[in-house]
Amino acid sequence: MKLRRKHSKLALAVMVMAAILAMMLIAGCGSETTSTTAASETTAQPTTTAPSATTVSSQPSTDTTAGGEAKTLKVGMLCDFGLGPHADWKKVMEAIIPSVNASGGINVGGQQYLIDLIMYDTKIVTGGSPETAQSAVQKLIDQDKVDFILDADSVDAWIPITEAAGKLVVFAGGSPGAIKPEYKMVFQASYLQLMPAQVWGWMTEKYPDVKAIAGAHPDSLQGQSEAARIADLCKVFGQQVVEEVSFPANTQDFSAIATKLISKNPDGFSTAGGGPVVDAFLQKALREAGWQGKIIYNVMQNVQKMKKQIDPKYMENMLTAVDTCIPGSPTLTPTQKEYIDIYTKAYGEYDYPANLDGCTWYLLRAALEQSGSIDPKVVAEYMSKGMEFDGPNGHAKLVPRPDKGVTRAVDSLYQGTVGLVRNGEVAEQTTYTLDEAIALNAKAFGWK
Amino acid sequence: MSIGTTVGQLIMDGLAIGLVYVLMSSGFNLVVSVSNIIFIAFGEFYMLGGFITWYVVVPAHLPYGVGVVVAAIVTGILGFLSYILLFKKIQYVTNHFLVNMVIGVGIMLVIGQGALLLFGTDSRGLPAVFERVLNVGGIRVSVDRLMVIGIALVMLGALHLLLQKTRIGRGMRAVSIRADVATLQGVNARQIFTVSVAIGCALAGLAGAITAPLFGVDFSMRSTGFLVLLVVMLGGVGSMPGAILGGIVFGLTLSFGQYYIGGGIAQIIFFLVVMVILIFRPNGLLSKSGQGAGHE
Repeated sequence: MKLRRKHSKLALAVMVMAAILAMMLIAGCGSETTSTTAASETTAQPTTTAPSATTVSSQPSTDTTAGGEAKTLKVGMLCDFGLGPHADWKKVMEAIIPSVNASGGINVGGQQYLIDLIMYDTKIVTGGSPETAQSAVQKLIDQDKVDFILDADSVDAWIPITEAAGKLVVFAGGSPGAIKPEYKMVFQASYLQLMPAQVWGWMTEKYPDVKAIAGAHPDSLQGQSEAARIADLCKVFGQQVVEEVSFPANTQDFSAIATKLISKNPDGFSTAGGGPVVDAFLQKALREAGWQGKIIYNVMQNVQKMKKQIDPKYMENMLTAVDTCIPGSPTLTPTQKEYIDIYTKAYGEYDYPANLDGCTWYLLRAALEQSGSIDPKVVAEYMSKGMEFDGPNGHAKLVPRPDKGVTRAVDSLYQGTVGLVRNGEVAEQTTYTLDEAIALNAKAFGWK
Repeated sequence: MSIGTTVGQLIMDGLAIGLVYVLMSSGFNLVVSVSNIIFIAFGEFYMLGGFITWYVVVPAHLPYGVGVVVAAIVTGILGFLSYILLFKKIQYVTNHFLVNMVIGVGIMLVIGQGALLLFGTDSRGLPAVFERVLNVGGIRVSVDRLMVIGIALVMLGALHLLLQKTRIGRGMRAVSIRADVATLQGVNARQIFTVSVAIGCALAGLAGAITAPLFGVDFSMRSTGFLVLLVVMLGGVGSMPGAILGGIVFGLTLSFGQYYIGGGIAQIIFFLVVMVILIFRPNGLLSKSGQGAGHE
């Protein structure tokens, strides 16, 4: 009887814990509650405009600059701060915005604008539900009155809201749902959607005997999107997906998954979307299980971050898009050099932050400066014609996605560099020009 | 790969993670059965063990073994402090259970948010302790994985010896049956409670330390606390053999489930298995009637 009583207490404890976990993960509304000091302490004067927002600016809007009195342009930023790569983005923006403002802001149509960046934590992955992101975007529109929103990967959760409100959105994730003919105000800034065709095309040419592909992707929107992309690429370039495993994002032990994958004896293996830890330990498990395949395809991963997780030998022959934002590299563009300098000045060293999300700011800035307008509809119209821009991932151009029925330029095509990991370092294999990149994507997606 | 080899491989795959849960569940059982404290912050101690090991091995460049020992000692001390400073005060109050839960949640939040501030969201990997992978009859297992299995078994053996062969172990068993009677017989119950909480937390920290080279160290490790409760309920509260059975069933369900059905469904299957078993055996598979009721 007494034992049963204790057992029922334990059952109650399980329920309490489950409730706590659920509350911590699901609930919470725009949950970043502390204001963040911008990276440069000498210039930063952050102000919190909403109870749950973090605002990063540098100087008050009354500051004057050489060009006269500077105005303030509010920009919203949404990401899941609980995920390493997105936490990097927050860090990057907390360095960049004060630096931009300290140098007088950006010039739009002859007027200087200081940037007031308002960040919200979406918990879109760590929280496992879209409500927090939807609430955050509603706050950005109603309360913070922003016209421009940067997003990492929550866009699918709220795109109809911003479209209806006429707000311009620049996102970085590999979202398959945000690029549709009916959406007029959303643009993709990273190489996630169009770089895979370049890397896969290179692999097909150099490794024609790699025919059987196995994939393992997290059971998340991004993971599913990556799995679908691999299936499409295989269809176009002549490979076959012999096994595809979907696993929960909280998986720690990949040994049984590796056992399953190698039972199909694949020539190549693909993973993406799990972040540097999951991807790294998955690759390690695969090699430890005895896989002798030739190529690991992981186009979006930060190799430097992965090397902090596992011995580089497990990354041998990993095919990836090269992060060309490397201090001291002779191929650095002026924008990349500036990016590295700002980050290094703010944090003391350049520790290879994930810079995919950072592209959103560079695309938006270029669009504002090139269009000469802060009217989101005018800026969107300008972007839709196919502008070029530079960011931490190099030079890129906005292109249409006819495969999705979208004829306006919405997606970023990069002058991408393909690399293979050899002895723990990325060895650059080739760099595609924009025209070559377009040709490979045309083949992959059936563009005319 | 033949079916026999595949099954053997999957057993080896599931055994390591299963034994890690055995270790944590045994620690949890020790705490709950001896001191009557439902220590729900086990996942946080598991995570702390991993992070401490990482700091000892990577930035401090000390041997991995030192990291494991330091992790176990530090988490043991934190467990000791949490009993002395918090749980001791509420052990005999009215509404003990509710206060217990509130304190447990408080510890979870303090350690969780503290870790977030201290360690950030970045996950960290540890270098492999042993690089080799053994191949026995087609079944491949890394020496690191064998190390986890070995340490877990040694610690379980040590725990068994502690409980059965030492004076303090006899005290623990006596207190778990009737603390008041044990006290009348000269057992220092407070000391026993303190030691049991410290050992339980140290086992969670040790589990985090030994898995660190296999799975890395990550803020999300804290979510394992919930699974530990399920494993304990499956095996039976207060039952050490139950903890062993529950942990191994959990590990093998994950392993075979991932292979034959899929990762996400494997976890759901484990929940279903626990639910079904609890319907027919509400006290868990191996609970003993009357055991662990010393504080009622």
